[in-house]
Amino acid sequence: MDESQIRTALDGYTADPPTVLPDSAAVLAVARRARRNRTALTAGAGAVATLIAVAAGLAVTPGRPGTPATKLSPALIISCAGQRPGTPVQPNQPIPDDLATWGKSTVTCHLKAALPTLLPGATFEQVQGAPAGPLIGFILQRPPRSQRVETSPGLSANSPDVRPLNHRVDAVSVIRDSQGAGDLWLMIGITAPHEKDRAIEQCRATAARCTVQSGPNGATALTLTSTPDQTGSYYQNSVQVFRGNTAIWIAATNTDRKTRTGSGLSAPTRPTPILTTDQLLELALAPDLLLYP
Amino acid sequence: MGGTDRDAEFAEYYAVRAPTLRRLAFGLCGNWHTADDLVQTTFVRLYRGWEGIRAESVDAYARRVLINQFLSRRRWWRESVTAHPPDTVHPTDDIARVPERMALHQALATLGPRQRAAVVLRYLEDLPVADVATLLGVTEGTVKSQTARAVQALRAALDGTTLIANGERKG
Repeated sequence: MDESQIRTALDGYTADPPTVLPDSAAVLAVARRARRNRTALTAGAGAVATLIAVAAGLAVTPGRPGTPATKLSPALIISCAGQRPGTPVQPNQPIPDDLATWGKSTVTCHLKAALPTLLPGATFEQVQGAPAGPLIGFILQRPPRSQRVETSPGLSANSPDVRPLNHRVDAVSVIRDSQGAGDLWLMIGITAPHEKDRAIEQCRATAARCTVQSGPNGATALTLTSTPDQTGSYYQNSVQVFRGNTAIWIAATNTDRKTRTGSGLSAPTRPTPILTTDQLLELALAPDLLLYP
Repeated sequence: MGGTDRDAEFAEYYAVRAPTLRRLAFGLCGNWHTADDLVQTTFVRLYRGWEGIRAESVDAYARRVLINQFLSRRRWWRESVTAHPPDTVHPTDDIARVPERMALHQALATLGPRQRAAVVLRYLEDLPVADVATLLGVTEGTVKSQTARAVQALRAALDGTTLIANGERKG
């Protein structure tokens, strides 16, 4: 390996970043604010208390782990799809258009990057009846019941599917590997008041199959382990993660939802769900999927 | 110089140089999110002293700030380059390039921060040994030895076919 090969390799390695840098206006705003804060710091002892308050305020502003205080402004949250719009959102309200576009793009680019890594060699297909292709983020617009994508069973009464549809971003895919096919369903919504507490309570009432654990950056994760479906048709793993104002639910099954049992139910097309709970948890805790900090 | 002129100059410099600095930052840390943080922190610091920085030295100054940020983060925050960060593979990747990207990522992750900085500055930024030495605050001899060891480590970590395939694709 000579020097030119190292140059070529490094050049390729650092090419094509997956995210877009914030524009100069956004960075300029952060720089101005940081400069003002620094000026205040040198203004005298009386300013110290003010600055501490400012720093504390910045420190508790949600952001990605490991980012410096000046980076924590919500205006500068960026995902693989670029900078997050600062439009305010409310629980159980439709997502504003700009945030919806960003959310769908973020989910799409994150899943398309993460899934091939989690499942090398797997292929991805559109779920029958889904409004978007495999791993592509979409927002359901209250379709007639007859046109809805089949609901995954799992967290039963607590399933996010009972919430309003147009405040969340979904993505679905049939995933096929050497062992067969299973499907993946991701939903990311805004948490409603007390939703996390209710979910934890229900999880604990589900006995050994459901566990509650703490994740990084104040996340709470509920994990529902693989169990046979009551009808004996297929298995499902699912996780539900609460981070900031974001509720993420991801489930993986061992059915392609097209193959049916004799009684017309979805039949297993794989020995186990396509993703383990650990893999689902890894997906759910990804910084990019914190759509509502 | 008025604030508006200063800001316009700064914004123009950001637009032109940020992508390059971002590549350097990614080469150093191996994670695009951390790279973006490094670049933004670098520009925040640049803005602070913008009037006092001479035009002919602003590039070198930006590099120095970025390198210092990287090294100090590694030293004080105990950040580490993980072998499998989530953005090792990303949507724009040609699937055929994923293995070589992963291999290089893992090979770079085995290097110490100063070794990594030396090899990235030397071969990605294409800086002369003397400039790398100035940036890292070490002697030219130290840069040469660190670079040599880094290249040796990369050579050991990567199987030859990966880079040969890469070289052929580029060629």
